[in-house]
Amino acid sequence: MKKIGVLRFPGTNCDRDIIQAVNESGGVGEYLWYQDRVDINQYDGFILPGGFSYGDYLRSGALAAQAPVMDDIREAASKGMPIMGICNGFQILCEAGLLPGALMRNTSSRFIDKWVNLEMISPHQFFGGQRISKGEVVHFPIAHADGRYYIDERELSGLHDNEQVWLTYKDNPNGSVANIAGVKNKEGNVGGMMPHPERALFEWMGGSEGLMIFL
Amino acid sequence: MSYELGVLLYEGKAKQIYGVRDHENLVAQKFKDSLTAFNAQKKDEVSGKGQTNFEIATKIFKYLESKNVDTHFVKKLPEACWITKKLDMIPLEVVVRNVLAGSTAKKFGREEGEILEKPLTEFFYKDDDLGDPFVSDEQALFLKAAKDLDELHQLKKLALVINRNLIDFFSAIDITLVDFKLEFGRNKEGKIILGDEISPDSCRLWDKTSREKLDKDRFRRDLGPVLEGYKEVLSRIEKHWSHL
Amino acid sequence: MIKVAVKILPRPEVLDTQGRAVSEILNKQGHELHQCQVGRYVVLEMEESSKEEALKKANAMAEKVLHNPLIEVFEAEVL
Repeated sequence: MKKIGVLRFPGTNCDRDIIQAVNESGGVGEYLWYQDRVDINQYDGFILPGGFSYGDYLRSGALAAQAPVMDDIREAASKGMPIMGICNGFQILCEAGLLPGALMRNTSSRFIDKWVNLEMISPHQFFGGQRISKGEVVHFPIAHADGRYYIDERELSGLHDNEQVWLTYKDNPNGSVANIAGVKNKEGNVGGMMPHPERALFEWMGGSEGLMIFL
Repeated sequence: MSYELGVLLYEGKAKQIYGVRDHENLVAQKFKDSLTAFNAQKKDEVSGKGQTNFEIATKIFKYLESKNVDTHFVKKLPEACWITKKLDMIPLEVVVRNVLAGSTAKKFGREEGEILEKPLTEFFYKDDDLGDPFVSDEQALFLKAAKDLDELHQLKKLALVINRNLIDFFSAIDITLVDFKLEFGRNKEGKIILGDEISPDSCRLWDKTSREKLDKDRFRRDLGPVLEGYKEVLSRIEKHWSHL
Repeated sequence: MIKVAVKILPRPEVLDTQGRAVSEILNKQGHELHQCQVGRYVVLEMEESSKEEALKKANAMAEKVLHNPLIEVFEAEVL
């Protein structure tokens, strides 16, 4: 059974949903507190859930990226362990320099909360793996104000060359560069996405394709 | 590549298993026309059922393969016969339920048709003499049906992945996947892969709008000609999933 | 005690949604302006003996935490 560490910062609010998603898919989720240090060898991977860590002060994810636990996450990342950030977790990973790019206020300046269609560009080796194949379209909800992915043109072509684009929006809701909804690091073990697969586990939630990211 | 059937290795309720000459890692599986229910207490022969089931099962396995689910399927031969990888079968039936139906609805005193909040996965121990009884995780381990708890979790996980894909497969042809049964085995590398078949013999399939039953329940409960239901499923699959 | 101010502004090539919203309002009110940028102003108070040292430390903090070089520029000055 895969044991996944689920990080909690002050203001994280999707942590229980992530634990449930991990448990529903046959893994074991365990909370990790941002001020604690972690023995990374006890885990098979880590998830940074969504929310509003530190009330989005300074920049979304900027202060959480400085938390003590992030030193261990950095070490886990460098050892090739699977790490996924969702929504605010994605912002934190970008601010921590573990993922390229930055997430800025949506072009509309509005908080957007809706279901979107996403295209799988390059599967993450662990989260979802080959369960959703290249080119397949999935339906997940988004809920964010700071979801506009930004990266300069030179780095963007690097992302495409290295197959670091994880998912793209079919209908860009927030002004993200190249419709990007999720990216991975060069090595492919760290990934982040703005959409919430943990909110799409069962049909009554509006769709169950999100379960595939955790299975 | 052509395959020559060898000796009959085993005859089950719905299939005959043959060896394949010069391929010790392969077997041939012939789909039979016989129908059984209630642990073979009710039996019948329906000419053409084997062929129809075979066509449906092939499409489903090809679809699952396209979704990166490993199955034992190797090649389709014309006469309701498959070439498959030889597996060391795990003696468990893995059942996934999306909607309450049949004996499970009855067991809990619930209405048939209740949509489950989340899919239920259950294990049944394969033993004809015992009537394939339901087993808990601990019971399955006591019976040494699986190596350890991890393996049972892996089976459930695979079942949920298959469920997720099959919901889409049937949804596209206006069919509700109510519940279904899976069997897994280990290949020679020890990897767990999907065996047996998925067909209206092993699934409950309802028309989405009319809720008409298109599966083996027609036979179990005498709800009209069985083959018509199976043929309806096949014709919808052939229309929508023609590329498979 | 030495105070150092760090001014942070979005990079000019990056869409500044706050600046855009503010300039729209100002323009609607008849104030003609070409552009408006909205940033952040951070005042750091330090017990350093020299202004140079304080400025150096403030720059380091701005580099690491206060600004994101991908989307922002900053300037530090001793008050």
